[in-house]
Amino acid sequence: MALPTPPREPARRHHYLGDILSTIHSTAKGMALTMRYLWRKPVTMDYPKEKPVIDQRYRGIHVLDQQLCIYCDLCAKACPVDCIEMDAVRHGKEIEWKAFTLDYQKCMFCELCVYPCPKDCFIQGTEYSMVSEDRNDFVHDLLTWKGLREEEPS
Amino acid sequence: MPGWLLTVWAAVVAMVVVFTFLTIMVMFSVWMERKVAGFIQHRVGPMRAGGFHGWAQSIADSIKLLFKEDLILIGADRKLFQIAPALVMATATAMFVVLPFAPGWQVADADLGVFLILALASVTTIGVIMAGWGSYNKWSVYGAMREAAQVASYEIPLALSLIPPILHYGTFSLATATEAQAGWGGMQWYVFSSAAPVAWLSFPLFFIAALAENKRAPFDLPEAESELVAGFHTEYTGIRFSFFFLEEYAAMFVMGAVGAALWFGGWNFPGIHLLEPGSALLQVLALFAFVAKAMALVFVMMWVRWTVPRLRIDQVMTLGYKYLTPLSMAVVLIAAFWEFGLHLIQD
Repeated sequence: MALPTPPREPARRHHYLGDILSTIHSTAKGMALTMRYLWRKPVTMDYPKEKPVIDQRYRGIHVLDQQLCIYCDLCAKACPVDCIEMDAVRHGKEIEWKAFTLDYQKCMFCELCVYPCPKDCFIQGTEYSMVSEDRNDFVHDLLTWKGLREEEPS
Repeated sequence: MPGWLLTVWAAVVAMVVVFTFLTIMVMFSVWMERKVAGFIQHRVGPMRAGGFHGWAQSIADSIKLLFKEDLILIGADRKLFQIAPALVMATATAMFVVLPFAPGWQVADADLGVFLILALASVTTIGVIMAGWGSYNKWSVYGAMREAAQVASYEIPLALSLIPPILHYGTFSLATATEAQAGWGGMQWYVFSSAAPVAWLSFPLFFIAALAENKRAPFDLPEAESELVAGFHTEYTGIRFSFFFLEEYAAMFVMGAVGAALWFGGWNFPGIHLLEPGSALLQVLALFAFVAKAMALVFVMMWVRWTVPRLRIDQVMTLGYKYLTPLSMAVVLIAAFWEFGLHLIQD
């Protein structure tokens, strides 16, 4: 069964000179607009020379406050992709650090490692740029010193 | 030195000068196009190469293009594929021969200069069709067919819209027409002359037809990046591609130069009558005035490109056949009667 054809809108009437004038009008309008835009200040940023302002909540490269860390391993357990590896030996209250690495090839910057930290010593900073030609460079060492502290923290 | 050797020597010198100018001008135009596009879109365009606003970007690009691999598809028509860029490049260069850059600074003052430019511009179209047909690529064939369909719709208005200035100056030679606009302290340009209304009617027609002739947006259907990959030059790489690129910008400059020479006084600038004819200062200023006028028109072409969206092929045909052709015929008639009236008044 043939469907009933919907009623058609009456075709727009073309007026030769009117069409020419409206074309000139609309083109002139557009050209004026682009000419105005030409003199505006660019909104882009000259990136490597000019760095963007990063919000404090940004989830960037991790920062570890090694003085506070108690080697509880909660961040490594929380990590869904198991990219945090840590190794240390306890000497009573002192912790002798062997390793604390984060593999940024796996890390998806979900911030789940930051929430369980009891000492709030493991946070994500605002640094975002990490470029290398070698895969091994992305296994990032977060320790600032290894082994036992050489001197008491002030 | 025998006569024939002198001719050959002059031809070689002219070729080197024209080609050097063309290459530098094209490099500058490409850089300018990218800057104009950037600023219109609130960007900045190239900024790195060379330091100040990426001025060396085009040089870097051309070196990269020269070192690219030259590819020809197995199914391609090798002869057509190889001849096409050469043909396009040769015609684009040949058009520079009749451009009057400054008093006496013209490779050949052809009596039919305007006619020669029109003829060579049409040969460029053949090169484009050859390239598209020989590429063994359906997008290229589409581009070539579009060019073939488009060519008839704008060639007639382009030729007709050039008639009013030719009627006014009674010559096809660009240099003679330019010299005729030297009056009023170098300001008796066609657009300000006694035939000014006709000039202002015919110039937009010429400009639109020239845009179509150069395959510039909004008439860039043969290459239509968003529809046909790159149209007729999809399969071209390296130096062959750069020939098409050079041709586009060279043709833009030629059309700008024809517009400048016939409508905007060519090398004439205000105060040209104060300088001694033939002096070095006059020559240099005249050259500067001519190139500046042509580049100003090239800038308008870029401005149009980044403003107006691409037309459909049927819209191009409608514009060409239904509007530009009758209007340019009407303008030719008006010009004829106007010149007749001017003669009656003067006699």
